[in-house]
Amino acid sequence: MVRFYFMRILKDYLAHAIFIGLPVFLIATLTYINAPNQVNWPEVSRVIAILFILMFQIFGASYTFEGLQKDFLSPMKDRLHATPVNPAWLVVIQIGYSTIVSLLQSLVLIGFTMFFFDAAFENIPGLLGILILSALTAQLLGGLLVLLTKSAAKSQVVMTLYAIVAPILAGLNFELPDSNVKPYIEKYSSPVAWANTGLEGVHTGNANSIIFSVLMLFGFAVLLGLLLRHFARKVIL
Amino acid sequence: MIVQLNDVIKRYQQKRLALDHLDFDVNKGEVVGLLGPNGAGKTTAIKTIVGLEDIDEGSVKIFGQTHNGKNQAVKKRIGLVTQELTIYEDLSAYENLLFFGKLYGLRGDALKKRIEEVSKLIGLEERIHDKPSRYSGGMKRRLNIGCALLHEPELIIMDEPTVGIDPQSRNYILEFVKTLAKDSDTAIIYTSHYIEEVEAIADRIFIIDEGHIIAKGTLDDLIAKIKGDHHTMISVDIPSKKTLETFKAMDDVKDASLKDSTYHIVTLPGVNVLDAFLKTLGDTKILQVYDKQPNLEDVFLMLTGKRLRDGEVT
Repeated sequence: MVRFYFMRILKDYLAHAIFIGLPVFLIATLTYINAPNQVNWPEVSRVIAILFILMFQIFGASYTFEGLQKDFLSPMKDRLHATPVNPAWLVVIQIGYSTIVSLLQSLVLIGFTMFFFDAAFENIPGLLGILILSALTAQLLGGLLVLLTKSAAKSQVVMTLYAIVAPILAGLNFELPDSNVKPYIEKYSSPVAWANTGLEGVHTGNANSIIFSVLMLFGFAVLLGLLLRHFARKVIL
Repeated sequence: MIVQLNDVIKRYQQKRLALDHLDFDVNKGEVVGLLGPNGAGKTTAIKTIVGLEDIDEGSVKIFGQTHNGKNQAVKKRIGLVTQELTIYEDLSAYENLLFFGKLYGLRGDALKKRIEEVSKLIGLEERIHDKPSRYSGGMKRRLNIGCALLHEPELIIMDEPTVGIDPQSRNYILEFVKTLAKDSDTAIIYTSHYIEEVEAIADRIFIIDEGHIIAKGTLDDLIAKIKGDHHTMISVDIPSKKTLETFKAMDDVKDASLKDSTYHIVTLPGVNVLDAFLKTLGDTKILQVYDKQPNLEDVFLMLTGKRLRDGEVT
């Protein structure tokens, strides 16, 4: 049963094509445009890769909200509730596997950037920890949204806006205009900003940035998990 | 007794009574038809039996155990065929069966064997590795049923399993249900909008309206309730309300109605009033005259004042 959910997500070939193919194309294209000189490829491609990894982790929340809609906001809900399996367990599996698949996609992007552009991603355990938490918060947010809106389409709109705006505020797309609040916005504005801070910390060896990132993402994940449990009980369980 | 609902009351939003002192029972190996117009409480009754709805008052006992939806052991013994298709269109039929089998605790060779048996039973063995998106409506319906059979439930609940399919597939499903009931001790609760389906397969029939059972019994028991009434149908080219009123005013006429261009006149038993009817029609061109034997549709109409298929009030 547990494997079924993994198989179901893996069989979503179109989603994989989009969530891997598109960022690969964008990372390559934007690296060539922004770094005509090959010497700069490693650093430029690393920054661009981080942008698209975090952005596509947010888009990847569609695994959760599409899955929850299909299972619990449709007539399928009755069939699943009629089985002896606790439906809460099915929600957990759905979110868990969506997180794993999203993480694997991120790792493919990292591998691509390292292999083709010699980008350096140091401290793999730290990197993985932040990416796991970042992917998890995106999936939990997607799950919460679909419970609140009861619509995968509406959740998609909200997550798309978030995926566009959050990286901009984190300073990942371009340099934000100088102001007193700029450092705060870049560091605190959203989970994308927290994750980016942590990933920079991983790159530069700044332990404080990593700890800040992990604590913020973990705390947010716990909060989202509690909210999700509350609304799941009201809406689908 | 497999299912026993006693005096069950279910309210929605503390107001609307969905189930109003509902009494319902099903015995081992029995096929029970549950008939009712739209909004009568059929689906709520079924959800209550499966444990998907909490009740406000009364008791629900399934396999002799109080059931409130949290009793996993009871759930393991029930198979639910939902009214809507609840299969995964993006997975093959085999994978669908695999998944639902696993949800009911089947594993390994036992599961594979059951999938083989069920796919034969539902007539999909040759296309079991196809995705349902390539199936006809009838084949999807059969897969929908198959997913509820893998764990060999002792109670199968079929909520309008033939909705929206062609007559050939419908007959296949009906024959299948008959065979299933005959060859096993499985109890089946079958709801349908098609009275003739229930007539064909049910050992006992419950008619539900406004949340409670208004009649129950075998087909013969129910027809006996209106036995003796004589139904005459006269189709004419130009019907009139005046003629209808004349029919209604006649002695021995219990009821008369007009639908399209056909008068439906119900008279007391043993009274031949056809001559009087024809005289009343005068020069009106008569297209067809026939007597109608009472059937379940008539019972339903008499008890609920509605036709089942479209919920039409007469």
